[in-house]
Amino acid sequence: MHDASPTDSDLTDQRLIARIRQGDAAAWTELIQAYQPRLYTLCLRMVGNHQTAQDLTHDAFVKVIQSISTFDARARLSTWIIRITMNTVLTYLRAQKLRRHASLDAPKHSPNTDASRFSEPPAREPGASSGVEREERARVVTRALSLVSEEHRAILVLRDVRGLEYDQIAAVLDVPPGTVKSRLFRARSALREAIENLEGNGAEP
Amino acid sequence: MTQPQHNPNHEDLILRWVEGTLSVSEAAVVDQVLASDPALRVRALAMRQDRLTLINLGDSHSADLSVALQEMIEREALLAMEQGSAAGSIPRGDLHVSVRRRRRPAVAGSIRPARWARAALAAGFAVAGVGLVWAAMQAPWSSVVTPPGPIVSTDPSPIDEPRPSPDALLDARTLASMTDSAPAPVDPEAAPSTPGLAARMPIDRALRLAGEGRLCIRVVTDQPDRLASGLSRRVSRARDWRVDATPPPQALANLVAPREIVGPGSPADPNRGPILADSNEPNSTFDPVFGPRIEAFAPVGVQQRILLVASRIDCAALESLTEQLIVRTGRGVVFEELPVPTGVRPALSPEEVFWWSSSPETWTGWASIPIVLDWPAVGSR
Repeated sequence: MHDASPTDSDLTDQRLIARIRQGDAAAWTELIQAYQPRLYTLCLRMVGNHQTAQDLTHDAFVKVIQSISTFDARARLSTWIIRITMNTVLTYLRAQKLRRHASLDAPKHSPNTDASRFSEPPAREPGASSGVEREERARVVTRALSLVSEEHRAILVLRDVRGLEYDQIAAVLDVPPGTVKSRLFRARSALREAIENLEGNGAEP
Repeated sequence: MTQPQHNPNHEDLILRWVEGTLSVSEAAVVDQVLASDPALRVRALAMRQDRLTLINLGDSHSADLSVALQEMIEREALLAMEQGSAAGSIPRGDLHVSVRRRRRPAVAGSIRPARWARAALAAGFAVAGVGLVWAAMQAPWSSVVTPPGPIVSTDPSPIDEPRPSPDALLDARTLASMTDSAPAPVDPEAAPSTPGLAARMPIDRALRLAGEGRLCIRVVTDQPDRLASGLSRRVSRARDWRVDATPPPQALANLVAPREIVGPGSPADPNRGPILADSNEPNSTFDPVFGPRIEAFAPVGVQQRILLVASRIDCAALESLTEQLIVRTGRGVVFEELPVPTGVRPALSPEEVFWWSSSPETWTGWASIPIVLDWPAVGSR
């Protein structure tokens, strides 16, 4: 689930980039297939809607294809791609927020933002005794994730879902590493409060 | 529940304790602190559990995007080969899709008139707006409510073709008899005036035609339903345009005739050149071999679907719309000039009625633009 060890993945990425720059179209397929699950999951955890997540993943890949010539090979490809994807997602979410504020209709049931429709995690193979409990917990945490701010959600997804290091998160979000730590702490606190609110309200699905 | 300490050092230690990255000595210190504060300990343990739950959510899987994207990649690679460069070094200017958009100035950053002036201006425009809305609703084929804002156009030359009478709208016989019913002249050498637009019609002309209800956008897609639903969902993301829920009138299907879809590299490939046979004369018949447009009414092996999109008549909106089409299909789009106005008006939205309440940069008219999705019929490819 987390990124492979930096050495292996970096070497693989460097080879892919070299082939892409030599005009090898098949290298693109490998790159897309390698990154699609990670990027799609990132989008899904951010927006909570499968179709929107797929669209955003597609959009992010298009941007990657367009701007691969600007990629500095000294940087980590994974960080660069995740940064593009996160920017795509955040741009989308901010546009959604602006639209909601601007709309005279004040839609309150947007499928992409309604926490009640936030995509629940897929059913996982339950263990003998605690599988149901884990699923319930996963649902609560997923819902709570939709309730925290985009800023907090982004850093939680990058750290816990994607397993990025602090310096990578700093590069993706374009903030100093110190900010990452303080923001992550606040994000964990916010998530905890959201979970407590859900549990206190008996709002578990 | 006790709130966590706000000492940055404590935050850092607790954060690392939650993540399990403390050294043994540091962990001992934190354990001691947590032992003295049961509430904080409960909270930190819960945070650790939350993190584990997030980690265990795992990756989700979606439909494979590599096929749709591969098509775009291969085209770009071909283009790069033609230009003697590798795919990874394609100059940005050669790409069909541009991530740069001409954005309207941000409201917060724009120079705003004084409040009283804005209020007076808004009141004046409110009166004018109501009148214009009423007038537009009375006009039988006026395409859009046009507030007195600027429509982006740098071409001062007027459209000299006379407007047909409303009775002539969507009359197939009229179409057949018109000799200027060709798609907009397509010149592969002429660079589009707006970066990112694959269409070869100058943007000024496209905007003028949109204002007259005579602009049509064509795109070839393998997945028309997905494209249509994707664009419809995009409504909430693009305030400049939206897919109208109103189904297009049947007569519109006659107006925008199906066309032949041919393989990549042929003259009809939208990414390669003109859709139809080239012509040296503007507004001439589109095909010098097969004659006037009516010949294209019965192609073989092509299906068609028409979406109506209500769009602002400005560069940014048109760019946004075409960019979405290009991104979602991986192909170019083509602007076409319709021989007569469609007569279809966009459904009124709150933004249009209350245009005067928004930033002056947005005071442009709206038009209904047909998007024609062409795709090969099953078994024809």
